[in-house]
Amino acid sequence: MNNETFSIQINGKEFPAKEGQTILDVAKSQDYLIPSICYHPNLGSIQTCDTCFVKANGEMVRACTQKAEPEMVVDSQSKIVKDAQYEAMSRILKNHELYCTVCDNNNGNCVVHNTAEYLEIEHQKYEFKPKPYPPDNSHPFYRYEPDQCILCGRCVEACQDLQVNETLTIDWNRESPRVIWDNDVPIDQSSCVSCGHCVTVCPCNALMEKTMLGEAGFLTAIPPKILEPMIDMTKEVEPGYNEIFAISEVEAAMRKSRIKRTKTVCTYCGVGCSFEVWTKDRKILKIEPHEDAPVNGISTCVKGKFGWDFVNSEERLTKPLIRKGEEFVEATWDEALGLIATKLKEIKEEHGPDSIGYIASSKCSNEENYIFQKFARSIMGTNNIDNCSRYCQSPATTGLMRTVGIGGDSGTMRDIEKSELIIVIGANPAESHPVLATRIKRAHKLHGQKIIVADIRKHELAERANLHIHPKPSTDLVWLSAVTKYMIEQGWEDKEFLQSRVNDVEKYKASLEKFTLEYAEEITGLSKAEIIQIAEMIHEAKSVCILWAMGITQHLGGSDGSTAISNLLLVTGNYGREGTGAYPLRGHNNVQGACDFGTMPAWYPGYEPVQDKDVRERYEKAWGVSLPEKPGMNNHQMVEGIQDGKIKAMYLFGEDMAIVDSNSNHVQDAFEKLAFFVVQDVFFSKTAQFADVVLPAAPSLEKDGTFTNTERRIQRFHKAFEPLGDSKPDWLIFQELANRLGANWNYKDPGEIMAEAASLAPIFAGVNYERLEGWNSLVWPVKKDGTDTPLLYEERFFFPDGKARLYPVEWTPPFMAGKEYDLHLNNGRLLEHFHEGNMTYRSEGLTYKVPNPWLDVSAELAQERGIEDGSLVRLTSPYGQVKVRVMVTDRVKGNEIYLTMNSSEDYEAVNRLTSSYHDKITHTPNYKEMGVKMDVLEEKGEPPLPKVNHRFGNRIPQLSVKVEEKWSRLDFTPIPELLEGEKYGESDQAN
Amino acid sequence: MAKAIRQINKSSPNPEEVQKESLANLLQAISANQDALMMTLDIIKGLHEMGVLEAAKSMLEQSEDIGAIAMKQANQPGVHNIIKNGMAAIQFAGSIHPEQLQAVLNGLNLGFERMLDVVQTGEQKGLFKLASSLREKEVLVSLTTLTEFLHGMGEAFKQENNKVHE
Repeated sequence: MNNETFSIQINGKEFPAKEGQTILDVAKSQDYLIPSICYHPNLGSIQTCDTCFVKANGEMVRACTQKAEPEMVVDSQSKIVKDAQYEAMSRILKNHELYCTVCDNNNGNCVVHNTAEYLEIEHQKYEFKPKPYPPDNSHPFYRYEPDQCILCGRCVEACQDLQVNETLTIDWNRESPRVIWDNDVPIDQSSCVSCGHCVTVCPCNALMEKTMLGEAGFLTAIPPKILEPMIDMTKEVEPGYNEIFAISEVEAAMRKSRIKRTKTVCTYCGVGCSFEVWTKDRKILKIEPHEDAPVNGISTCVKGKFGWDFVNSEERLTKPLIRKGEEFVEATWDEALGLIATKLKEIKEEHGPDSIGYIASSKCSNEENYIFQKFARSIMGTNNIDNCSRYCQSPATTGLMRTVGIGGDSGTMRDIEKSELIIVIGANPAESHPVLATRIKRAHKLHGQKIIVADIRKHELAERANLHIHPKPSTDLVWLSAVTKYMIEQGWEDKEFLQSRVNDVEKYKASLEKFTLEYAEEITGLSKAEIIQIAEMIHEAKSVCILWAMGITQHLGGSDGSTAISNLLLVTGNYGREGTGAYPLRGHNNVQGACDFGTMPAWYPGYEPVQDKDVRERYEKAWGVSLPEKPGMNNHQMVEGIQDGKIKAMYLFGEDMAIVDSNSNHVQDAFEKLAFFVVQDVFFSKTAQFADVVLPAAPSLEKDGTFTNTERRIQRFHKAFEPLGDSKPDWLIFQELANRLGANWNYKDPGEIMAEAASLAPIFAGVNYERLEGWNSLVWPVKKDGTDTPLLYEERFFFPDGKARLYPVEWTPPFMAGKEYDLHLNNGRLLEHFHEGNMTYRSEGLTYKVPNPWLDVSAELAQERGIEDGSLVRLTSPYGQVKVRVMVTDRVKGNEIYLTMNSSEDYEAVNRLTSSYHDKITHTPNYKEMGVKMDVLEEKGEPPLPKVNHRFGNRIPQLSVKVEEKWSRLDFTPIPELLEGEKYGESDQAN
Repeated sequence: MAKAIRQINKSSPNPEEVQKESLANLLQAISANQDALMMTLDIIKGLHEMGVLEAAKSMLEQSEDIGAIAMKQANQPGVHNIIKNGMAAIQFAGSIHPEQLQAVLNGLNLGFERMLDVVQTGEQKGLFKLASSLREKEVLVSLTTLTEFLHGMGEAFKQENNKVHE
């Protein structure tokens, strides 16, 4: 039935409609205007504004809820309908003062303004009454002005059911209803995670970004002393709203020439949110998400919505720096590039091309990664090139390459939304992939999606999960294999799928022999009942997605753990269908793209091996050089190579390796030994301190390019303003350096680089900038004709015979630091800061919300050691020590502690503690396997996390805005009743 | 061997040189616009002598207070009336059909011409003649028109009256 089409009549015209569409949907799909204010395409109908009243088959109904039916006759223009809409709008204006010309929201997209104008509201029918509440300016990023709030509930719907943070409600029971945060506390002290959903969907100026206030309009900076009488006077003399609208429209049009709107893609995590950035000169007025953005719609997290101050930070690098003695001295580009060219050439000639290592950036664009690997391979003659995926998801890539053939997510966010069962293992999407987490929370809350979380921490998704299991650290492979074995024993495997689409089934089944329930119970600490429950939930679900991250990969057996996940999905037939698949969640905005475009020691762009003669010849022909045949060194091998004297020089861009690589003492020690080191960054990072030349690069807002998100989705971003100072886009720096070393490159813009990559790498064959205009995106593989592949493996797996492979794996016990190191050290990201905080600490608001890293300690351990919130402790591992303050929490248990990674200071950086042990296949460090001991330095102290943090809030979960409570208020009369009561008693004509 | 260092020697340009460069730019602009600048200086001198500059400076410094006072003055019934009357007048002008207005104006024009003739010649008509001119077609048309005008005006007054007593 879902796709059945029929037609309905609106005002005498035929409209095609689909089963399940509302009248409003039908009208909108044909760009036909029926007024509406509270309806939003990403939120659905809220039923508070009543401006969409129409007559359907003679009955007065809300167009946003009434489903279209065959032969339906809709009237949105007759007198009574117009009267109803007019009445609804008049009621709204009782709550909202129209002073559009001096309002910062008058940017042509104000829903209240546009609807009032469309409905030809001439005068205020009901007198505007201010509400008895002052504006709430407590939050650093946005304000709420109750006087302007029309109580449409969009913000509540967004907070409750789209973001699902469950902070906002409307209290309908007071004399003057208003939006409240938690139990009516100032916004700043609530559970608000500052994601900005509410501000983005507000149809007027009640909720606004503080960066817009007094900035967006030409007249909006007028002080209140003058502004208030001006508003009064305008209202006194106005002949009607018509004239006001005319003036405000002129003003809104004028703003367009001053406020630049640029589409960009978020530069934080791997989810890949896209939105507009509104700028006035170099000032960022706001991030404006858009319902058509393919990944996120109007959703954002606090960093994407509010975390862009770093771009204009005073601390940006604006000039090249050259080390002279004990200091860096500012230099010209000519001096800096000249020195780099000379030095690299010398070292290459003296020690050979493989004596130089190249570290690429997963924060930079696909084009920049492509051109950097081209530089390393074709100009410098080495495959010694790698990127930071080595630190995170390389093991996942290996697990998937072994089993299904492509090292990326099997599907997109649509599949995660639609899946019946989501299993999250060793990942904390609510903080590390916030917008992706919203889709799971929404599906769980509204559509009955089930969630299993396997994690040693009780993070937000774990709290919400149907089942949260807490296996012993580093034992996931064991319970995963036990679940798989149990399901096969029960006959719950997908026999037909295994038969027709999977190889090595029997060999794999035999390898499971040891993974009995008893064995799993012993190794993982889970009960048999828990393991059986997981198996049953997978069996009962028609579709399953498994999401994982560093909790699986950053172990000695990271690749095998990832493989076990994929094996389980194969055995249960959860690949190649909507709502199924494997989702290694990518950490950086472009870690997927950096790998895709060839900054890896063994792969050309598009995952073609450097050892493959045909492939290599293709690149040799295109680039006119001969290329090295052997795979180069990865990050880890380069660091070891420096220690061994094999690597003499390094060129690194957009990566703070001195902080993010494990065992940072060891890494920093290696950097000190380099004969020559180039670091290219936006900021003077910890790594830059070791450099001989530091080059100032430009961040995404200052250049063009594309990023590829965790879904394999390629999206374009555009330049919003010029590079700051003398900084330059990375791709331009590489081109200028390459040309000094004899290349004759002449790329005018990144589009030309992408065209070259697409012509060489078959999986990007159809990628070009025209196909990526506006909100358009492409999910690779992309065929020459532009057909992309949001869902992989529908027909074939990515192997020559098209069949998947079950891959037997063994469990690797974790690294043990020794008996005296009695606490298990876990570590990772936070919502508010990205990684070590290189960008996010430049935002005053983010730093105010989270000023410090901290150590999560369980109540049991705190009691045992006599510590409390604010105590200062020293953690010591065999590799180093840190000092950090404590927060006592139930997020961790027993002797497991969690150190947040938001610090660039050596004395509190987690990688002072981690080791150089690593996954045996990919060399990804085992960041998540470390034992430490704890000494208490100060028993009392200032808690590291201020009370204004959302973690101290008190959520108020409910479904939507509870409009029924509005309808049951004594002062509410339904509009049809009101009109029929007056003079329209005969309105229900039968025709 | 390169130890980690944080010290950055910013070759912040010599202040004297920066100043020199700006001055050179300024001088260049001045010589290119000499005539205009000389005249501007004369105007400024005049304004200064009249005390206008000082007043303007004070006003700028106190712009918020003065703005508030100005708005207070402006936000009075008298000013409201001026603005409303202005807008009413414009609305009235907008509501008249140009062709009809043309006809009325033509009538006024001809009427004035005849009137002026009388003023110039000083001709006086007797009562009887005046009475008989009421029978003349032209006069009748004019009188009918005027009576209708009175009717219309009365109707509007009546409506306004009803509104008040509603």
